[in-house]
Amino acid sequence: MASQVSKQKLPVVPAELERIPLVRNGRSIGWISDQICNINEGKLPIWWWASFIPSVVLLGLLGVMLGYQITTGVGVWGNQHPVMWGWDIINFVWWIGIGHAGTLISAILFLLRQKWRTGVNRAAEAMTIFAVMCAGIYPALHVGRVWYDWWLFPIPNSNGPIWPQFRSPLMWDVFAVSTYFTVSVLFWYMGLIPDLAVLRDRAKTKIKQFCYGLFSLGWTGSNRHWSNYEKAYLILAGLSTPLVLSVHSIVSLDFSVSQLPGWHTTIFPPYFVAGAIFSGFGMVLTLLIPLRSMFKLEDLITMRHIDIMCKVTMATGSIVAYAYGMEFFIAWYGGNPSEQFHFLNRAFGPYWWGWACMMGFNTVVPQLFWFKKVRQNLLIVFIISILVNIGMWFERFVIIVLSLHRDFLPSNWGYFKPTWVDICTFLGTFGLFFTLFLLFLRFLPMIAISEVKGVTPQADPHHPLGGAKHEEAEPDNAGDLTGDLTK
Amino acid sequence: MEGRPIIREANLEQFREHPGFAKKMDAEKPPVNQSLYPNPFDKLKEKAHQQWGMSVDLNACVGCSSCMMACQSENNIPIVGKDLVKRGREMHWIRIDRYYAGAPAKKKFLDTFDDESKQQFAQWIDDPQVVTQPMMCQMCEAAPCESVCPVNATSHSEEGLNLMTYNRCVGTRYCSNNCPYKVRRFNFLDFNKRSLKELKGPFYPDVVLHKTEGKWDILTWLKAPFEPESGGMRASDEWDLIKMSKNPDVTVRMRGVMEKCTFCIQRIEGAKIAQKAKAGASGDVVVPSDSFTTACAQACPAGAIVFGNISDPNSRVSQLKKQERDYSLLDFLLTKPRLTYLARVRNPNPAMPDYNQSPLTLQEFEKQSGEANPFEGEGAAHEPAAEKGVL
Repeated sequence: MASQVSKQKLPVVPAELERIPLVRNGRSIGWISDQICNINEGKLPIWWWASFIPSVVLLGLLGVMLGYQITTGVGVWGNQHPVMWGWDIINFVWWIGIGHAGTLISAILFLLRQKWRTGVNRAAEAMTIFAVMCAGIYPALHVGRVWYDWWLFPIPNSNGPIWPQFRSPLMWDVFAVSTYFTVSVLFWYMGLIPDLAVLRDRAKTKIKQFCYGLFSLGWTGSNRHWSNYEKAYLILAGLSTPLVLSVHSIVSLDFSVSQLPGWHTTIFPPYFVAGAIFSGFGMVLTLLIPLRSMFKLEDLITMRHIDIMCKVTMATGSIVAYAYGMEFFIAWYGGNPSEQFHFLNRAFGPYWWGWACMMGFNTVVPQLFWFKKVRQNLLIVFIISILVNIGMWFERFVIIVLSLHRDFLPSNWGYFKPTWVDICTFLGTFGLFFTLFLLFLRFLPMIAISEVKGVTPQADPHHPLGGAKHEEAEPDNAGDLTGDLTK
Repeated sequence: MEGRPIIREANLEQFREHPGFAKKMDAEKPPVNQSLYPNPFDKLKEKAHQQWGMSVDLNACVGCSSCMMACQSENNIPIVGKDLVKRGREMHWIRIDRYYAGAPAKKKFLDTFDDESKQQFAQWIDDPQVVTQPMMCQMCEAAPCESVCPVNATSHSEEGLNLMTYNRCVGTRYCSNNCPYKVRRFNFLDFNKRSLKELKGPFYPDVVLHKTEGKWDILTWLKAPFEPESGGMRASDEWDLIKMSKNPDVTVRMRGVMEKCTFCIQRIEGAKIAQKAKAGASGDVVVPSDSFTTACAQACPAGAIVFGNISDPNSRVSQLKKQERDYSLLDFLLTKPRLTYLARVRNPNPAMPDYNQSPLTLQEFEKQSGEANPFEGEGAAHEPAAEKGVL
């Protein structure tokens, strides 16, 4: 038997086509634990404080702005007749779009056995949860009478009973977003348990031991634990997968169910989901490119990770570009005069600049990722990832404000301008996001330690090299299995 | 008007030749879906004694705005101040839409998309024809606002009214976004409690620093946050005066709720109650037709607005709706408004220098819609013969 195996030849892979391993430089398992836990255990770098303090200040600003808005009325924002939804819903959709990459990476890519996800999934999931929290603020607090928000839930009551309007997309939104948030948090926490146990075992202070011990739920790493854990993880991945698609589909129904030109289209659900993944990956890149160098994680979040994420961004960006094109085509082909006017108004109306930003940043800029040189240049990738999210913000601006500002009767037309409260509230949500994200970096392992260990070359029993170096193979029998194993 | 058939008008000769021109200007309608689930409220409609409707004669309307003033005093509509009017936050339930029609030949493609503030200086607007249109809730039978409200705050009555329940409204403002006529008004601030100073002055209500009777507002508010009698930001004597100016039959709305034309539901209910009291045991509870009317209709000096029971074929409103000039606005959305308009007919003197063969809005419409000329052939080509009705 052994001689039979020894005769098998592996295809010879030229060096330039060799896949870069997901953990570079043959880092050992211990190094991975140390490097990741060091973020939680070591001294806080100055840049952390330099970002944390402004974030907390912005978070305070958010509190003040929301307090002002709740006590005074929606009128402090720029919302007006006919643009009844302004920055509130733009930012809601924008944040919730960002919150799509995390669960996509952790659930869908898990089911698809994309091993590279392990390097980025934890941070992306955290980003998702915090982004959904920022998003959730808006629909909850943008209403006129915040204290009656609970009427949107079908709570049995003695007044008739009065139920919510089950035909309203806003009502579906409540369920879509809250389900997504709950499942995302559960999924994130599930994945954290083995890593929390690592932190617990390494903890030196009583408080840390207690806290990590409490949240690691008595994890010992026994076979039984792992077996249950992996089944539960798979089930949650299966549950989260449809949610990734459903949330933004339902958010898009807020628009497509209505009859406004520009909103009333069936293309919205897939187009919104693609846009959400597009912006989500943009945000993951924006966050991880600085973090990997700040925390010296280049061997765990490798250029291969960046490369793949750039490709996903480009692919979803192309879907979005196709959707933009299709909207224009259908406006012409459908022959609906209101629809035709709306799309011409996007390009030629008073908000042409918003449309131009959207088209430029979302359709043209991501196409640069066709070039490998661009994907390998971290500075350019970082800039593009930010432009993508600016573009996606303008997409929501175009959809919401431009559709509302000029609709059927020209006498209703108006011009929406945000107020300083709008702007400060939006800045405040960044405060909330970054405060939570920086706390996450400090107190939780930002990379899934146990999962990354599983994708190191040496962890794979089927890997022919078992972590050995390629150069050691002799040129004439480079692909010979036994040749490598015996060395 | 961008060539849209919003206000439909023709010259007298054109009207004589084609009396049904207004309906021919209808846009192509999508096919009506056969619902698998008939609306249970349709059965309730049969039981109702009255079905309310309105007819607005654009030929009679002179755009004097009396209806706006009548509505404002009848329905306790707050004054919001100049700055908020500029922000499009006026609260009028009825408004007069005024359109200027210029020479369509002079209008270039990009002119349509110009900002409104620039349009007045445009070349094509020289020597315009002005048309006015009272615009209020159209009481759609298939109201787009109703299905999108997540809390059921806006609903339909069996008498065909689109009701607004202020107590239930949380203020998502989705109804306004989905209203194609944009007749819903939102209380962006506590307009009824703003002081006169704030009406004139700065836009931002000054919660903390603004003083009333030596007390800080925030303190007054903290002492009695949910006390409607505490005058908010108004001095208490001013508040007493304002209370006296309100119509006691109509709710005063707080901030954060949507409101809109109700067809003066307080008058409708008053008439019904009076009739019930009068009927006693006789059971004759149907309100006599044209025995009362809405505030706008009552105030209209030209008699352009007529309100009444459309289930009675002899009521004035039913008679008017039978006219050939009758059309519903944005008919292609299939909202089936209870409020319909009577098209405008001009009678220009051919000897005058500003004489036009046909009204400028109609020229604009013809230019915009191309093939759908209301004066050619028997209705638009895409309409099946059965649907032509009176034409």
